[in-house]
Amino acid sequence: MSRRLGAVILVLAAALLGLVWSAAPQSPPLYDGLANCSGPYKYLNPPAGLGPQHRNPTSGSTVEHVKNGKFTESVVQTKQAPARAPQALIQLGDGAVNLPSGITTVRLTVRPVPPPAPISNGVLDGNVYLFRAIGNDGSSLTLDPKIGGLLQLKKTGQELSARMELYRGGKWVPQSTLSFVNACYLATDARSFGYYALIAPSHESAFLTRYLPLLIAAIIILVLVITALVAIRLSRRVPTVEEAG
Amino acid sequence: MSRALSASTPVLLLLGLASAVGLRVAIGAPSVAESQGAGLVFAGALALVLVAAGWRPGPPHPSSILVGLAGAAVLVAGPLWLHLTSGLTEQAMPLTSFPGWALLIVLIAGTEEMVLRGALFDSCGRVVGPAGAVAVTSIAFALIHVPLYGPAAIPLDLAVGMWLGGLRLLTGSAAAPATAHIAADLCGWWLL
Repeated sequence: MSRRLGAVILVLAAALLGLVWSAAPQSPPLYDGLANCSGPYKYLNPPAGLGPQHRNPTSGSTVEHVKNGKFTESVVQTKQAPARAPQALIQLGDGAVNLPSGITTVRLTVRPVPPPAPISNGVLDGNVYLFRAIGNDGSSLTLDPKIGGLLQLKKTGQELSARMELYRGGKWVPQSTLSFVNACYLATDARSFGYYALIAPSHESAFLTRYLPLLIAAIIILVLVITALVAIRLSRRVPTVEEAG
Repeated sequence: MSRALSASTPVLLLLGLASAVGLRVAIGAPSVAESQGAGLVFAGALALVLVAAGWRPGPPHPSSILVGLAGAAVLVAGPLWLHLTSGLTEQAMPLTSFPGWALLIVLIAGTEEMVLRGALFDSCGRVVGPAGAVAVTSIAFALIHVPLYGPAAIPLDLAVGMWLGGLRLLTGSAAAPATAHIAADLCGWWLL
């Protein structure tokens, strides 16, 4: 009986899993786990009260040789200490960088920079990172928007509702952001190089999101306590005549 | 066992579970899902709940382990599809930090399963039957993850809770859901 019921429940659960995955394919992909980010976030301008371990963020660069006039796949990421995740990286596929004639090498760089303009639509969560591609003649190269690249920025862990934004045309523009319930970074399908940052909503809502887990935990505990009290009360009720007999 | 004692056991286990979650949130907030210290304390608190409940796991049967691994393959299928289609091919974390992370995953997922699909499932089954036990443990599984991942994770965690409950019923042992849970969580290293 239990085995048959188990099989029925497995079928129902599989159908429900398929439904949830198809309805929300980008998040959350895994149901549980522990974010595998280690080490403190390093700020260009650390918030007050943070120690020296939160200072001196790193940059990164790599040089790629052009093969047959075409850019080949590459990754550039900030340098990190052993057992530490990079704070910023971009993965580029074959042909992702537009190459004018005569370009033989491409230097890809990523570095933390001050915000190019004040952020009026939220709170900066971490550093602004400038991603660039530079040809051997010193010219700035562009990303082919049809191919793009996968860009990842590490979360500081201080703002739960941050999203990826790109500084373009004098303002910060929200990007389609891939979020993963137990990953320590956010990702976007970048269509251009430039200034990228994680930006959270205003301080007021950031305050709410910071304490939201505590609030939800308190509500859950309260519900479970009430359930417990009701269950204990019901289990100790006086038996009816039929039950006593 | 008297009816009062029988009914109060799952309730006390749920209270113990809620206390462990509260402890984890208090230590790890605001980044509860990223706090390894909070995760370790959570696993320790769940182990204490198991000791208090007097629940002892039996020796795992090899077939339960195999069923658990097959169960993990199903749980990983969706994230694997997303991983392959989103182009996330670069693992940002160096492999040297994998052992410590994996050990913590095993501790957390293992104690979660022993409490939920072990002690709680057994005690609920005696009071509300096997289907009721699946329902209670699935809801509890979804609720304990809300402070970590937010309400958006409830539908998925309910479905996964049902899946793990189904494995428990199918094999009659907590070893299968524990294997599935641990193996799927460990796969997260390569899938995120």
